[in-house]
Amino acid sequence: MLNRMYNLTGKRAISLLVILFMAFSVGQAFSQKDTTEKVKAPADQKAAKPAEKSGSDQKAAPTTGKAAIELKVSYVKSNDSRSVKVHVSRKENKKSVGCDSVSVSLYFDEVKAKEANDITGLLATLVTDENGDAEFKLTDKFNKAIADRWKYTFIASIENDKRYKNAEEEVTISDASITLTFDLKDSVKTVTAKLSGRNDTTADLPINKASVKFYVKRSFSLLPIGADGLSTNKKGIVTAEIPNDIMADTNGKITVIARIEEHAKFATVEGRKDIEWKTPRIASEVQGRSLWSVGKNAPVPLVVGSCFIVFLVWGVIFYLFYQLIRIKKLSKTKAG
Amino acid sequence: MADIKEVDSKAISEPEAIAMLHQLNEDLLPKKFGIRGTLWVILLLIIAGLGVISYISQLRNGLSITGMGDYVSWGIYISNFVFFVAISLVGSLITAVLYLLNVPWRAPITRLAEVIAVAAIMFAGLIIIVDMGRPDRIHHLFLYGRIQSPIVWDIIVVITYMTISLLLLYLPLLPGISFCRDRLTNVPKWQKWMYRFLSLGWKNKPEQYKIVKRSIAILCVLIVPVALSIHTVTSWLFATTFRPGWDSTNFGAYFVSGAFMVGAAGVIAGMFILYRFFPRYDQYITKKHFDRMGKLLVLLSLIYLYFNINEYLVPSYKMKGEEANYLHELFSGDYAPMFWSVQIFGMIIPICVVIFKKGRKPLPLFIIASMVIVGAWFKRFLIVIPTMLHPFLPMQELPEKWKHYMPTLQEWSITAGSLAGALLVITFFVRYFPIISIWEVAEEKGISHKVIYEHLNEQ
Repeated sequence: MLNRMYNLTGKRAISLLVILFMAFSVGQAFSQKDTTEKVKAPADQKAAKPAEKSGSDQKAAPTTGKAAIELKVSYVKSNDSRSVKVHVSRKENKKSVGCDSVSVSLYFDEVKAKEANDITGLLATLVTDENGDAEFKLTDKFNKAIADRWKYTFIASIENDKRYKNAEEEVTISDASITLTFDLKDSVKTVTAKLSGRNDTTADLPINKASVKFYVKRSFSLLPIGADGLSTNKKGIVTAEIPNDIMADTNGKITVIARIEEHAKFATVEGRKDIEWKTPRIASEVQGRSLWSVGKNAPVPLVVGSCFIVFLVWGVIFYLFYQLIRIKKLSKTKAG
Repeated sequence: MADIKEVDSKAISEPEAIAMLHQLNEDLLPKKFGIRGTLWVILLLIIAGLGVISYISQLRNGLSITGMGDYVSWGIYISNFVFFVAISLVGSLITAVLYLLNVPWRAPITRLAEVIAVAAIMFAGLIIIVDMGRPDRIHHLFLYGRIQSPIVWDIIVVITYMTISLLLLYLPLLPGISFCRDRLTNVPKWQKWMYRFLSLGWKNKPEQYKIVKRSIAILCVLIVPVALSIHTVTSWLFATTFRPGWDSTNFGAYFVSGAFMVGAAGVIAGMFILYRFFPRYDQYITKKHFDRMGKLLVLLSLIYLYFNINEYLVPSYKMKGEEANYLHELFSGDYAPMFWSVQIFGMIIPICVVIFKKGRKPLPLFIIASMVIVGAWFKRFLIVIPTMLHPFLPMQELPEKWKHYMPTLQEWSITAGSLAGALLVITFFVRYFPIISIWEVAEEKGISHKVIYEHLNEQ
């Protein structure tokens, strides 16, 4: 009897210990300091990333009445390629928030239905992304069709959206282009940009006093070069120095960009050109075969050794799979 | 090495052997679950389902829904991965090591060990995919992986170990599947088809047994180095990264010893469930098995304790630089209650209790094994998280929340879902296949394959 009681008490004591231990350990995972702040973290992150709010944007939009929105249209010309960008946003807590999944009709020159073999009218219907942006790249066919024109109007229109009020915005652009030339004097490399526009009578009209910015293309962004506040002279020309310590890509080239940004008359126009550079980028800082180099430069003993082990082990595994086939065959044969 | 020759059947007469074989089939073939089993399955399905829902949310919104960030980029997913890999080592311990040492009492628990190993390694692989921000790019690991990277080694070893564990589960299971195919008549058609398909037409022929036994011997030799590799490589994911708490040459042995300990505890917990809740299983999994597994658990816990002392005593004697801050955080800081709970309840108390004979009885041993398992999970949490919060480069001018890690509800849900998933694999296996190997127990009792072949194929 006493022995039974002892066993029972012992079991209960152990059970109690386990419960305490589990509660203690689980509780610890929740009881680190500033717990409240950490629980709020995802909400903070979402606030910092409007892109991730897209799912809730739709729910946030008023259901009783349509919300007012702001529609922006911009035009970008890079060398000979042209694109039109739209941005749709609304005000939320005094902040501008991008509206996703909004259909925007983009027209050229005038709002009317698209007709066959006519470049005017509806160009495309765009749908905004999670940031409220959409872009339409004008096709080569379109570029050829407007080759003789020097002034264009693009109209963006939002109609009959379930969540937002109708909106329309247009932008009129005079055609301009930037051509780049490079020069070397006393080991100083320079880039010269010539900005020219057009009118009814002149095809190469220099544009004076236009603010131009120069960049060199890097892997993830553009590196500004040249002095601040550069602008074109009467000949439409502006020159900037290219620093000598810029690293080129693996082919020994760099891409230089000259740009006028959001100009009232010409919108955004840029010229891009590659130049042979003296300092090619080295693909890997680590030379030769080592543990720290890229995969194809792995040490030979490591490659051979690991392949040998993998093939050996998998060879045995395949042998065992073969044994399964043998077992199945034996099942079909009659007992000897 | 174990003897793979035909067992001598002279010790037991043929009528006795046939009667015993009948009894074994009667007792050990899978049966429908009762109410408790059904409720258990429903509970696991709910937890796993919630985990799947949370994972879908993570797929849609990215890892931003987790509490991970720039500093703690390995959260509870990776600590859960290490836990799964650790517990999966039990397959090699119970099946292979005990087989190679020719331990006679292993037969009733080998399959349990193997199914735990398979379930754990399956979910170890899955949890790695869960931890990936872009799981759709998993093939990039094979296309662009660097052979110099321990992550690539880990992927290779996990796949290899999973294949070997599946073979080690499947090959000895073939006779058992054929018993189910031939003897379980009152089952749905799909179940019959499954038994027919998986049994490979098994006929209990002595030649087939010979192939199976030879294959098991090969697998037992093969699985030991692969099992050691898998957890050693997992430890190298940490040890090859220069961080406080991970900068150790001891990590491989430290991880492997901890894995064997939690694996043994996992088998003990499984043994207790079978012993307590499955009728007549206590005839096969006896108090003798608990006693011996308890002794094994003490031995493994002592080895792990030795490595723990090495891991913490030596650096804390030196207390250098950022390592000192990390150790202070563990010993007396925010993580101290968890650290000391894990050390005391997950290791010291189990050793002190199980070292005595009364502590190795089924219920106390089950409770101790449960403590070891829970402690082992939190131990992996302590290996991963505090280190990530103590980089060598100082954390300056950061938002306060970046200096801490709190798993989100979705992370807990996915982690719990993965644990429930692994338990579901084991549960479904127990429901549809013999969890105690009939032919190996028969062999242990002295019944020859010839008798099995001649008798069972007459049915």
